[in-house]
Amino acid sequence: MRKITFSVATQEAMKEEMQRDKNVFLMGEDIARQGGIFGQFAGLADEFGKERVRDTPISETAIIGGGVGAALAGMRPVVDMHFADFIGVPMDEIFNQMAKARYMFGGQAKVPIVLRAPDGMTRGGAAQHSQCVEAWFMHIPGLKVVIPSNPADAKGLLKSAIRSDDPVIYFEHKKLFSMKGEVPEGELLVPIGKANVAKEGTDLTIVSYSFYMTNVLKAAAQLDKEGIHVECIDLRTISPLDMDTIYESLKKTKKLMIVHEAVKQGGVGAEVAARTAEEMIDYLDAPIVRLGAPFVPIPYTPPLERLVKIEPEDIIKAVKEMLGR
Amino acid sequence: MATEITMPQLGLTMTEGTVSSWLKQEGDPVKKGDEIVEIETDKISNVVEAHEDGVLLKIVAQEGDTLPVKGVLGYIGQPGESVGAPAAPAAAPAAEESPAVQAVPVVADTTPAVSTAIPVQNVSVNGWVLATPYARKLAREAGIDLALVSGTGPKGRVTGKDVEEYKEDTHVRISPTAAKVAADLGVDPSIITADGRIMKADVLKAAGVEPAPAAAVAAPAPAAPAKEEKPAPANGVKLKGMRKVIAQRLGDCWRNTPHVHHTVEVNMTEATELRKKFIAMDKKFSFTDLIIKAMAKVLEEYTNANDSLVDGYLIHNEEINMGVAVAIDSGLIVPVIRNANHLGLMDIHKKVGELAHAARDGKLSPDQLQGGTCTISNLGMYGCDHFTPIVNPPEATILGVCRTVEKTIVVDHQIVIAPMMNVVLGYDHRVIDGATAGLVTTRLREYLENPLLLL
Repeated sequence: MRKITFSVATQEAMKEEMQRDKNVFLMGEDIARQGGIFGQFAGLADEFGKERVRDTPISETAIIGGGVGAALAGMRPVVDMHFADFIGVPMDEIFNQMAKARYMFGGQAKVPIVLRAPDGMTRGGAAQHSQCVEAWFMHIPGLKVVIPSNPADAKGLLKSAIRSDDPVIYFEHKKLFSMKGEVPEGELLVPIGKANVAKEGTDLTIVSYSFYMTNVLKAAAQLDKEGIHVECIDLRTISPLDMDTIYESLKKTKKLMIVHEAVKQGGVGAEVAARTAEEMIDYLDAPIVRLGAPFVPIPYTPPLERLVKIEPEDIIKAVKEMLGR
Repeated sequence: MATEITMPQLGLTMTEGTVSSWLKQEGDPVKKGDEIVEIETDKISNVVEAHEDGVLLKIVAQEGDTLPVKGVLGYIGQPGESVGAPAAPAAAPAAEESPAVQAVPVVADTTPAVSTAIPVQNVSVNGWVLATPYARKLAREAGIDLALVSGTGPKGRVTGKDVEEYKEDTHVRISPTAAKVAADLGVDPSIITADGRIMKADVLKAAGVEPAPAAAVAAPAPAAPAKEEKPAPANGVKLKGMRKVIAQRLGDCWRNTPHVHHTVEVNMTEATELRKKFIAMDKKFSFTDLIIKAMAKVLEEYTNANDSLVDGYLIHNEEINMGVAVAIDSGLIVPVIRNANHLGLMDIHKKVGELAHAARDGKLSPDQLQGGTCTISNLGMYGCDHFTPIVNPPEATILGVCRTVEKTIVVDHQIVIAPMMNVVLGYDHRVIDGATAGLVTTRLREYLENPLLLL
């Protein structure tokens, strides 16, 4: 199968949906002329013109507010946050308008918008350009939150998001843009709200998503060699959460670890752990373990940045501790 | 090479025994099979035989000393041989209050050749054993007490694997309540015998009526200082053996159990007729057999009269096991007919005969003396018209049976003569209320007056 980058996979998704539906259009900073900061919009302006691929002023409020208005008026905008770290600026547009409009109008209006939000640590991005804030949005009823971990899912989830009649926040890790992976030609839809068992195993279940799935799978491959077989679940969507897939896995492994780049406190792992404790307490044969960033801003300096990252060796160590090996 | 004579384990639950008397003296030659020392427990007395030829080299445990199972009683060896300091008697480990790791005492297994105790290593805080929720679920489903499972998980926690391995090792199937009772009584469920799943009654049976606390077992007998003894009163014979046990237990029971007695008069006309018909068919049963059957049926209907009160727990006995008091030369013994409610009258008759015979020959096994839930004491043959029997703990009821004698009674406004018998239900009023006892005696009379209901 052909291999393309995550970035190109998202381009393809938008291109195919724009060809399919004339109501789909794109808005963001530097997406038309520059092709997006990570090249994820490259070439689209040439094909669809600057009406449908619109560069905007540096105003997140205007970008998101305009997108919500367009969606309410019947369009299907894909808007770009540039960096997820800037998502605080249009927060009212997101949680009071985008998430609430359909409910407030008694279902007479819908907001079919996709908000693309590149997130996560690259090297030396520092505290204001490295954050993972996905957990904020799983606390808001009215939003769907997807967070792919590889090029194929990036394409399939983005296409599903564009077709969704409800607003979708689409978090994409900056380090994933250059990641190559197998993506089938043509139509590819990944359902929103369905997790993926990325690797089967018997001894322990690791739940993760986004870029850290790479680290989890690397750790799992190494552990396989040592006779420890970890099952790896890629959430793909964090709201709604597909707990059933996790529960099924736990019936087999009886042990749960959640790994994410975001701050551990109040993170997605906290929700997964809490629901598991509520529903599956009788199946747990070890305390649930969460690996996440410590409760600190992301440091700029690389040695300190390492301390808040979770690398494959950290996961291997935690798995062994959990299994008492 | 001198070999030890040790305290044998007679029955599953014996933890200690007392030396009643030495039948051989130091220096006496002994042959394999010779009776050398008499021992007694709270249930039974027995003799220990020599298992090899030689001489009784040394007596370690004096008459009256109480030793744990496998404690050294003395030594047999060749003449002239000397014996070193006696080895410390094997003692069941005492429960220790340690902040972190607790060794849980486990009562000895059935084969005397094997080590008596398996220490369990797990972490328990205020009696709460650290275990994973999954381990708890498995233990709950299998009726395993977590206190008996060693924990190998991080921080000493019991994991699912530990429970599964314990299950593998023991193959014990036990009801959760039974497991709880077993844990409270310090009985290892793996040594309890039962038909199928172990129920509460099996645990009680195995534990005996007054389970000795593990701590009491641990005291090393040989090192105990000699007790100051008062001189024996004139014509006094120191209590020992069965008489001592009877004195002890009846005293305890009378002091601790509030007794109430209900007496009912039973018209035995039908029972007498039925018995005649059986005899005509060359079959036989006694009124005792009939009363056992009737009482077992009544307990099946009024199940809480079959409960036991043990150490603050009201235990619901699943089985109905009828004890039958049998007078023997040295006192009284109560063999037990298990599941009497499921036995036919002829089966009961046969069992009573066998047990009474074994009792008089002193051949009852400890297990034939355990697990009763109600006792029948028949003094009819001694011409007794009324008496107030004392219950046999932990049983809650005892039925005293008096003689059957012809009396004039009024039936349908007519004075008639009928064989009449008094039965007296003695019961533990903590367990059974007067109304329940009234129902029990009424139903019992109905059965005995209409014995065809029992066939």
